[in-house]
This record gives sequence, structure tokens and C-alpha cells, in this order.
Amino acid sequence: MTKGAGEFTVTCVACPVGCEVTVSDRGEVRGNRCDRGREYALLEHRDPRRILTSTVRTTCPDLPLLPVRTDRPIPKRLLFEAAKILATECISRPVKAGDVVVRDILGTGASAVATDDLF
Amino acid sequence: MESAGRHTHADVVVIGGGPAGLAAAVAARRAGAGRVVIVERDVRLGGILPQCIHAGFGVKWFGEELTGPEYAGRFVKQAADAGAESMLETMVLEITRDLRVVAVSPRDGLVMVECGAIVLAMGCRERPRGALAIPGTRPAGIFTAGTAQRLVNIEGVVLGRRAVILGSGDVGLIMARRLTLEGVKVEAVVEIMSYAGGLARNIQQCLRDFDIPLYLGHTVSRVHGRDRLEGVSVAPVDDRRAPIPDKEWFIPCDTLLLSVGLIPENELSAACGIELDPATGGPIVTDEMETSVPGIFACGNVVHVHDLVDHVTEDGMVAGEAAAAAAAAALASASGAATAGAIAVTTAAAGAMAGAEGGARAKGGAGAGTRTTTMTGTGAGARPAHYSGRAGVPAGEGNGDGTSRISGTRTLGEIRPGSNVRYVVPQRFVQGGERGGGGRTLTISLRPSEPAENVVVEVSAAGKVLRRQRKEKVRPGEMLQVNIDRRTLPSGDGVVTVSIVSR
Amino acid sequence: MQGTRATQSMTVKADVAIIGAGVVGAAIARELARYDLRVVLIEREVEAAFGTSKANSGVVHAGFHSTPGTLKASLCVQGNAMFDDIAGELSVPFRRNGSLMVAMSTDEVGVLREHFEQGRRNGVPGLRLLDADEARKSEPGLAPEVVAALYAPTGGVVCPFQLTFALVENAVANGGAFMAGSPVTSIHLRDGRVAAVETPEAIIETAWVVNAAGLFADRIAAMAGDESFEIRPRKGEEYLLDKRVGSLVRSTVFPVPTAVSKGILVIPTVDGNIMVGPTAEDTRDRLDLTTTRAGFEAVFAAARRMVPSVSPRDIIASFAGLRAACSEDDFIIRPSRVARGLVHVAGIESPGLTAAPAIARMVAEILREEGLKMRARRAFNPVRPAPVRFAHLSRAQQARLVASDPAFGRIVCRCETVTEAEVVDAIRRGARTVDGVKLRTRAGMGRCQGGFCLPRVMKILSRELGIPVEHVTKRGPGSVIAPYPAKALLRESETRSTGGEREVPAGTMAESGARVRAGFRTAPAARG
Repeated sequence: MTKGAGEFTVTCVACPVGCEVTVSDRGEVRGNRCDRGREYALLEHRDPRRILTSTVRTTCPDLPLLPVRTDRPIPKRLLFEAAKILATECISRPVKAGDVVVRDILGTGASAVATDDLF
Repeated sequence: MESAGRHTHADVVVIGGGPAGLAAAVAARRAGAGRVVIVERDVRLGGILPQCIHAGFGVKWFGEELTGPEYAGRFVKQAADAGAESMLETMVLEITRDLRVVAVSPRDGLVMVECGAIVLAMGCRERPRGALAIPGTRPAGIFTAGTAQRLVNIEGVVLGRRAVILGSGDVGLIMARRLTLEGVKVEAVVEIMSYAGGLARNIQQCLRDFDIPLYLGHTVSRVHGRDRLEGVSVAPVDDRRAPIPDKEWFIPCDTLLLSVGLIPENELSAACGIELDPATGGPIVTDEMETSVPGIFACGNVVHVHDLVDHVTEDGMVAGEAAAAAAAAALASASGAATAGAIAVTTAAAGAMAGAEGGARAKGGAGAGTRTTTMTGTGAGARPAHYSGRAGVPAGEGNGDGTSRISGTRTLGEIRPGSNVRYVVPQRFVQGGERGGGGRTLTISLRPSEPAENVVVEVSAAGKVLRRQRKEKVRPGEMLQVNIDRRTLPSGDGVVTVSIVSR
Repeated sequence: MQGTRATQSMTVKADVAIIGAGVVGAAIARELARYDLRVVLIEREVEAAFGTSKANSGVVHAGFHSTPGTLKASLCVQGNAMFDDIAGELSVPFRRNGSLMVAMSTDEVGVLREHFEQGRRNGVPGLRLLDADEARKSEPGLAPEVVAALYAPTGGVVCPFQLTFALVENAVANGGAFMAGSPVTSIHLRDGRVAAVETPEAIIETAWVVNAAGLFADRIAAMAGDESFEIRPRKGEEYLLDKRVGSLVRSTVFPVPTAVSKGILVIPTVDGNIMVGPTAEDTRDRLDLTTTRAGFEAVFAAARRMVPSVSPRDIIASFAGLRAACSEDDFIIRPSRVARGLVHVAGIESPGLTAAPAIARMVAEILREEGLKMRARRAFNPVRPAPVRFAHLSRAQQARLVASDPAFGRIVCRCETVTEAEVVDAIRRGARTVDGVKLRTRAGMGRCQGGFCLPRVMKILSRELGIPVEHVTKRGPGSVIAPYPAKALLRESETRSTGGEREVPAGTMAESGARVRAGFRTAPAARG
């Protein structure tokens, strides 16, 4: 993902064009075709975040897994640790899509919410 | 008749309760169809969406990024609110040209539904390993990506510890991330083409985010392991896409996922003689999403494989609305025919007669200098008259032969793929029609054959350019759409060509 | 009987033990079930037909290929004549579609004539030589280069594994015992005569042993001190094409044969697909079931020469099988010269499937001649009830069936329209694995090759066999499909750090799956 000393390159996903945008170590942006690409690349460089989508086990035999998502993006580097937190959970009560399943994952302030109904 | 199963009637039967079918049902009800029934083979509605737990659905339709289950949830609610019915755990065994659907379920047994119109929304299936004939053994541990997605996200099992993914289609890319976040080490994604099959955002967020290597121009050249997969050989390919043996290397893994293409699921369509487009694998449709069999519509991935569910929903809306109109017209003309003592419109005999008559008429039309588009039915041999009537024939004249359910006898224009265009949908348009989802606008979806940069999507007819749309980049993995003002379309003759040309 | 497991060795008394539940062993078991004998059929794989029989091309040969005077020649023609009855009694799909050997040059016409003569001497009925026009008239898909053909109306196609399953079922229904998953580890001799056969879980005391162990027949013989022959496996690759092109040919199309095999054929299978193959390649590895690029190219080049519209684009599955060829030119069907009471049925390569019913009869005769007392079983019932094939029924029949059992209304395999009730029935008849269900019901054999039905079949197997879904296998031990329960890998570090559970060791997937699952029951309840 990095190119050269201190350079950072990312494929912009702000639109389908998919520019390869590079941020230099001095914060100069090149390769973008529009301002959205510039903003995207800078954010990806400074603090890349992602919505985590995963599942949580349930005690319901017909639906052994409940799909969940974080209610806000979390730092990219925490995705795997957050998935491990969710892996320890097991739901044994009725849940509606949108209900919070796990609060404040890894101190990020983000909660995992159900994306489907259970039971 | 008890022994031959239950009989029932519906104005519109939608086959498949995924995003296309749900949208079609919603639209059909909103357009005034009476009884609208979704027939779904799974235990719940949503099609493939419930297993697509990742986000990225609905940006275009809802203006927000939803997960698959959330997107499905919204449409399941809309369908229920609109008053559509559903038959779950019900598999359609057969559809007929006279608009009957035979289905079976544990709850209702064998059911035959007579319909005013049918909407095909069966989606697509995955190309299996067998179709690739990869040399080597046949151990456990090889899955198509979508099957793996169901096993991991719905059934709740883990498939192995180390995985290789063959093919860079979107489902494969999504599964690379999904497996990684379940603790599986994804060793590589291997793509035979020189470009990735999936969306750029999925390359970024599913592979690069997790440092998963993507080998373009490579393939799995051999499968190892007697009982359970033990590894795969990977090799670059030559210009005939054959692996180069002396450059082969071994990747130990216990799981191989295949994301090597999706195929519109048209067994039912083919069996009832609906004409398919070899380029899409789906039915040839008009801009109203009507197939070559009058009264049978199609939408979503059964027509062609889409990359975004939002477009599938749009298709479904068009098909559902048109199907409602067709059902209403069929009902009206059936009651009209009944009072006149004439034959009913929706019998096989009538359809066949209409086909023969229509063929003759089309011939006459050509003689008169009006070239009409013909669609050859592959099944009965009789070409539906529906597609071959001449403009200007009074609508009433078409009654009873199945040609005039929607808007009287119509002429169809044809849309063809030009240079660097693999296919276009729709392949036909109704002359003077204003349905097609956009009123005065006709939207054409297309897929490039090869990746290209700095190009123009050019729509032309009879040597005249109707529209040019500039594109920075086009890739086969990303569907394009181009809108044309219907008023600029050629009348009568009506062959429109869509090309991708360099700027 | 099947799947019987004991931790301690159990002792079983039998009159005859048959080693190997391929089509030959199964046919022998069923033949011996006609007599008042305690018959035990022993199979190393978890299901019958999982060796060579599974990969057979299903051709019921007319009998013009074999040299007159050989066992191959006489048993092939005899076996062929028995197929109508046996397929009828056992409800096995069988069709006499005719065999057509085509000459692609005038040189090859001479070979056709030789086979015509040879077939006549072997007693093949109805053989005819066709000129180019007649050949193409009967088979329009043939290449224009075809100059003549030899037509045998008695040639047919059968489903080789359905036949094997049916034979085993009928043997068991008539009092036979079937022990699957039981590799023979030794043969006990007493005074030069067989006394018992040992497997990891049982000792079968018997004075008569039939060695129908296919690829391992020489090893079984060696266990009794008999090293009179050697198995030399010959691999064959086959390619199955979509039903869409199932009518490319009506008859089975043969080239003129080579020195080692009948050549690469174009076979309309009894299920409506086209199969092309097999190759013929000697191998030392008795478990080498790999397909190769060279094999693929050879098969399609040869098949397309005879039937040009055969195309690799239509492949839905490919596989390889090993013929149990041997060091002798003919079938080896004889009492052991070393161990009394042991009868070899070895080297059964092509036309072994066709010959199987006749081989079974011959083995019964040998046993009688050698001194086995055989009294007809009065209660013998030759009929095996047909499994329901929902897809083949009329709508009215389907409606009645679903009304009687809702499981017929749940379609598990969409490509082949297989219902849950059929899968359950297959498991009750002996299927233990995903492949076993597939071979019995066709679930997963269609063009999507299990993409849709795999999770469903796994669930039904888990439910019916009472095992966790992580223990469901593709074709027996070691071939677990989804080895771990949800989140197992993510929780390994957690369980390691707390010391509450052992780490899942690599390589023992089924067992470790069970261990992790056991850990789940004590997992902390939900927070949130």
C-alpha cells in the first residue's frame, strides 16, 4: 500500500473511476481526478476507518448466526480485534434489526447493531 | 382435480423473492395488480441478500449504505405493506407459455397458478469447478464463493484454516475479507484475466486492506490432496490463458473458493421456450422487461448479472409495473373475448395461432418497407405475434391474439452491442413506448468487453450519433448505463447500436 | 447392519465373506443371497461403489471387443443378456441404446470386419456392418470422415453405482450383512485353509472368502500367502457434459480399439448426459485419481474426431477412475492355489461391469464345486423396491406424493429436482456422505454441481445421522467439508490464554471440531 519513502497510495472508491491517488510525505496529493478523491486519500492516509460487518452466534438452532455491523466506522487496524470480540458473544434473546448487540467495542465508541431480526 | 394438485389464480406471479422479485411485486401492487404472489424457494424472502452481510447496498436507491439483510428487510416490508403475498419454501417446477406456474412446497403441496402475467426473478447461479476442468484431485474443501458465503454466514460453520480464492469476482473478493475476519488466512486471490473481475472498491477494501495478494494473469493449475484439499498449484498463464508449467508454484491450503462467474438461472425460461441472449445468458427483453413470450417479464440477475443491487431493484420496478399492466389488459381482453364468444387469449392454442399469423404479417410489413424486429421463439417454433405487429394497426385488431395486451400492436426497435460492448440490455425497445422506467428516457445497461480508458460510450442509429457519454475508465467488472431521449430514437426501422470508442 | 461400530473387536460367524463392495463383490453377495448362507460383504470405504465402480463409464458392452475363448468374452456376452432382468428386478436405470464402432479411414474398415467376426464368434446377437450413409443416418452427429461402422443393438448403458447400491441393498434384504468402512487387515489361515478375516473392528470367522477387492485384490491375496498375480492399475479420465447436449448421440460411439483399451468413447449416459473418455494410463499409485491437462486434451481430441460437436465448453464435471487391471490377460476367477477356501475374482477391468452378473454366477458355481453346501433360500426376493425419483413422476403422482409426505415438497437439488424425502431415503438405504447422497439421488450432479444443495444435504445428513454438521464428510474419514463451528478460529487465542480449552490441533479436523463445540456449551452468555 505504501510506495517510496513515506508515500502512500490508495485506490479511490469515491466513484467507480477508481483513481490511484498518492499522498506524499509532505501531504501533497496527486493522481486524483476530483476533490472527492483528494479528501478520500487524505482521510485514508491520516485515519483509515471502516464499518465492520460480521456475525454473532445465537442459541437459535434455525438461525445460528445474527448478522451485525458497527454503527460507525472504526479504525481499520482494529477490525480483526473487533471481530474477535464479537466471536465471544452469543445471543439468546429476541433481537430486532437496529438493536445494539455489543456496546463500545474496544473503546472506539462504536456499537455492534443487529442488521436482521432474530426469533 | 385434487390429485393433480391445488389450483389457484393470481394477477401477477413473481418467481423468486430476492431484490428483483421483491421490487417487481411492490411495483405490480402499486400499479394496481390485484393478487400478486412471490414464489420463493427458501424459507425466507430476500434471495441471496440475507447471506450478504457486508455493507454497500442501496447507495443509489436509498442514499445510504446498507447491508444485505437490511436492504432485504426494507423491501420485504415494502412488499408486505403493498399487499403482495408470498409462498415460501416453494420451488417452481415449470412455467408455460399460456401463463401457468407449477410449483411445489411442503406446506401447500403441488400448486398450479394461472396468472395474468409472470415475472421471472430467479437470479443467477455460480459457475462450478467442473466447468473449469482444473486438473488434479477432487478433495473436500472446494466451494463456490456463494456457497461458502452461505455456509459461513448462515449455516454457521468455518470451512478451513488457509484459503486460496480463484477468480476476482465480487463474491470472491467479499469472501476474502469475510474469511479473514473469521480467522482464516487467505493466501491469495488468483485471477486468470489481466484485470480484476470485481469492483474497484472491493479490491481496495477486501484485499488491500488485509494485504491479501492478487495475482492477475494467473490461475490454479492443479488441485492437490486426496480426501481434503492440501494445496493448489498456481501458475501464470500464456496468451491462450493456459498455465505456464515451469512457472508453477505450490500454495498449501485446505480451502479453495471459486469466484469464476455467475450464470443467469434460466432453466425454467429455456424450458418454456423463452428466447435467450447468448451474450447475457438471460432472456432477451424489451425496455418494459418483457421476454419473447407475451406476458412473461424478467428482471434482475436472471436477465444479466448486475454488480449493484440498486440496478436490480430498478429492473424489478420496471418489470413489475409492466406486468401489472399486462395482467390488467389480459383480464380485460379475456372478459371482452368471453362476451364476444371468442377464444380466450391465454391458451396455448391461441398463442400458437397468433405466432403463425404474426409471422405472416411481419413478412407483409417488410414488403411495405417497414422492417420489424423479430424474435424467434426457441420452443414452439411459433414466433409470438406480439413482437411482429406493425405500427398503425388498430389496437382492437390485435385482440384475441395476444399482441395487444399492453399498448396495442407495437413495433419493436432493436438495440445491438457495437465495438467493445459485450452486451446491452434491453435488447429491444417499444416504439413510442413511454414505460421503460424513465418516461421519456430510455436507459440502456451495457458491459464492456475489455477494459479501456478515455473512451466515449456512443449510441447511434442509421449512421447518426444519438448520444455520446465520456468515461474515464471502463472495465468489464463494472456495468455502464447510458440514457437516451426517446424522441431521438429512430422510428420504424429502429436499430440502435451502442459502442465504446476511444476519444 | 451398515455403519455398525464397536470399540472392541466383535466376532461374526459367516459362511462366506466377500471382500470388496464394488459392482463385482455386490453382485456376488446378491447371487449368494439366493442360498441359505450367512454372507458378509466387507468394504474398506464408508459406502459401496466408492472405488472403481464409482468412476465406471456405465457402458454395458455387447461383447465384440474380447478375444473369443476368454472369460472376458463369454462372461461379457452372458452378463449383457442378464441385464434386462437384473435392472428390472433391482429398479436400476438401464437402456439398450446400441453400440457403434466407427471406422475413420478405409484402413480401419478391416478392423471393423475383424470385430464383426469376433463378435459373431462370441455370440453377440444382431451385429451389423453399416456403410457411411447408414451410420450417419442412424447417428447424425457423426463426423463426415466416418466411412463405416459396426453396430451392436445389445450394447447398453446403466448407472454403475446405482446398480452396485441396488445389489447391496437386495443382498442385505435377503439376509446378507454389509460392513462398510472396514478395511481387511489380515486373513487367518488354519491348516492351509482360510479361517477368518480380520478388520479393525471385527473378526469374521468363515471358511470361504471371495476376494473381490478390485485395486487391492493382490494385497488381499498376499494376506493369505498367495502371490500368484499382481494388480496393475490403469487410470482413466472421464468428462461429463451438460444435459443440454445430451442428445448429441444416441448410441455409445467407439473408435476402433487400441492395444490397451477400447479407446475414448462418446457415451450417452442413462441419466441423459454425455460422457467422454476414458483415457488409459498405467500408474503405480492405487489412489491416483487425478485428472490432467494431457488427459483432457486427449479425450476431447479423440471424441471430437468422431463426434465434432462434442465441446469442452459443456463440461460440468471431470473425474478419474482406476481399472483394476492385472498381470494376466484375462479376468482371474479361480480358487487360490495356496489358500483353500479363498476364491479370487481379480483383474476385473472392462468389460467387468457388464460381466458382473455372470461373474457372480460363476463364483457361486466355483464355491459349490469346491465344497460349499448351498441350499436355495426359499424366501429369496429378487426385487429391490425402486427409490422414488420425484423428477420422473407425472404432476398427479407428484401431487399425491407431497400430500402423503411433505418432505417430497421440499426441493433440495434444483438442477435435478431432488426432494428432501429422496435424500432421507438414500440415507436410510446406506448413504453416509455427501458423495453417497449424490450418487444415489443425483443431488449435486446437475449443472451447478452442488452449489445450491450442498448446505442443504449437509444439514440433512447431520440430522439423520445424528452428527454435528462439522462431521459431515464428502466421502468418508479425512474428507470433512466444514471442519469447525462458527467462530472457532477466532476463539482459539482466547481459549489458549484462559487455558479453558485446548488449542485445536491441525490435521484432526473432525475430532477437534467436536472438542471446540463441547467448549461452546460452557461459553459465556451474551453481554450487550
